[in-house]
Amino acid sequence: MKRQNSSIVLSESNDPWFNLALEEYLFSNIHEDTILMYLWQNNDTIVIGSNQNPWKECDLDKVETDGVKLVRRLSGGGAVFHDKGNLNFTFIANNALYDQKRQMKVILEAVNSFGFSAAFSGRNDLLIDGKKFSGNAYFYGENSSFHHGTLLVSADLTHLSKYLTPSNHKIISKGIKSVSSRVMNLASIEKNITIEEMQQRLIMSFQKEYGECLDIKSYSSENFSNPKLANLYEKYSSWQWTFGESPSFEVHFEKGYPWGEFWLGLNLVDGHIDEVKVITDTLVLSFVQKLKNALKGISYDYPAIESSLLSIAVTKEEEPLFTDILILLKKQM
Amino acid sequence: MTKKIILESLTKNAKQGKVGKISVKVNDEIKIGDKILQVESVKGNTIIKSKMNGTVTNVFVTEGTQIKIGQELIEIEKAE
Repeated sequence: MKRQNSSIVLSESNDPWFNLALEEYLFSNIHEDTILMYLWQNNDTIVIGSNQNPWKECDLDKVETDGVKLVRRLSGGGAVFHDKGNLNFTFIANNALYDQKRQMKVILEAVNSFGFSAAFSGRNDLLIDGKKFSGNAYFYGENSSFHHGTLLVSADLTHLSKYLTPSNHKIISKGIKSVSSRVMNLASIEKNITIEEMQQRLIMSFQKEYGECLDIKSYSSENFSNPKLANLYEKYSSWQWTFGESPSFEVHFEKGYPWGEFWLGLNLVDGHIDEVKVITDTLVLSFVQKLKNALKGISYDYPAIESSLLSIAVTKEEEPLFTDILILLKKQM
Repeated sequence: MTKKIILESLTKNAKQGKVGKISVKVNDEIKIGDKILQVESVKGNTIIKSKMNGTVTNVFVTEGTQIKIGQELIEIEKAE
């Protein structure tokens, strides 16, 4: 077996944008002889898979109203909800050292040290009695890879269905769709289990598998002075990353009005409106072309659409139609 | 000279995957290391990057479809 150094990093921040930026930073800077375990926790957050569509995966109104953060990760798989009752782990290593079986063993041994009989399932989940308490996903790079996952200790499970139920069902996405699972908290079986204790058991289990780790580093938002980390934070907190990196999708809206039946179809590429189709029997024909022109190229974001529609010159006859369309989009987007 | 980029490998035992986000379109200029597209297989995401400089002349795959190792992804007109 190849000799390796083990390294542990803890994040003191609960900001998902910082924590995912730190994950990518650690991944990009991993030494070829090191296996690193990174432990982190987020405040209320929806984390979507790299090839997913946030409009399709979650209720964006509720996410925004409740101040839940939304972020795209690098790995594949489906959307998950994080809160402080959930502990996240990441294993980062050069591809020669990267070994999912060994990494899973670290997690299973830590969990089972509490007396559980957890096992690995075919969908990359960890289960106890058929219920999932840990989901895992992977990112494979040319030289190194990472494996990360969640550990539900005492999360608010009602939030999963609250935020992960899409509000707009009229989206046809080419991205990866989430698969819902029966989930459970470890604390529902062993009520005294805490995040802090789980963290300690993971640190012990990791060192048992990979050897003593002499240096456990902590990162906090003070590390922002590092320009590479600051750039990654900017990426993870940006609209362009979380929304704009969505695979292309279609969405449509329809409603009957006193002025006519109206159907609007949008094709979205990189989160921007690439094509606009309108079907209507209104007699105000000039409205159709103006609407198409005002929507094309705009980001699929209500404030941006509103601002574009309000900036065009409209006649008295067209004005009520534009007002109705704005109300329709505000309600259904 | 045009060169077709094929899906050479995915990780470990995976022989096929689903096309995720495609980052290029026809006529895009592309440089070594630029992201071409992502392939997802059993929750694992792989980024396929360009190994040459040039211009994209064809994209053979679409987002959301299954692809296998050996399949053609895009065609690049290699820069001189």
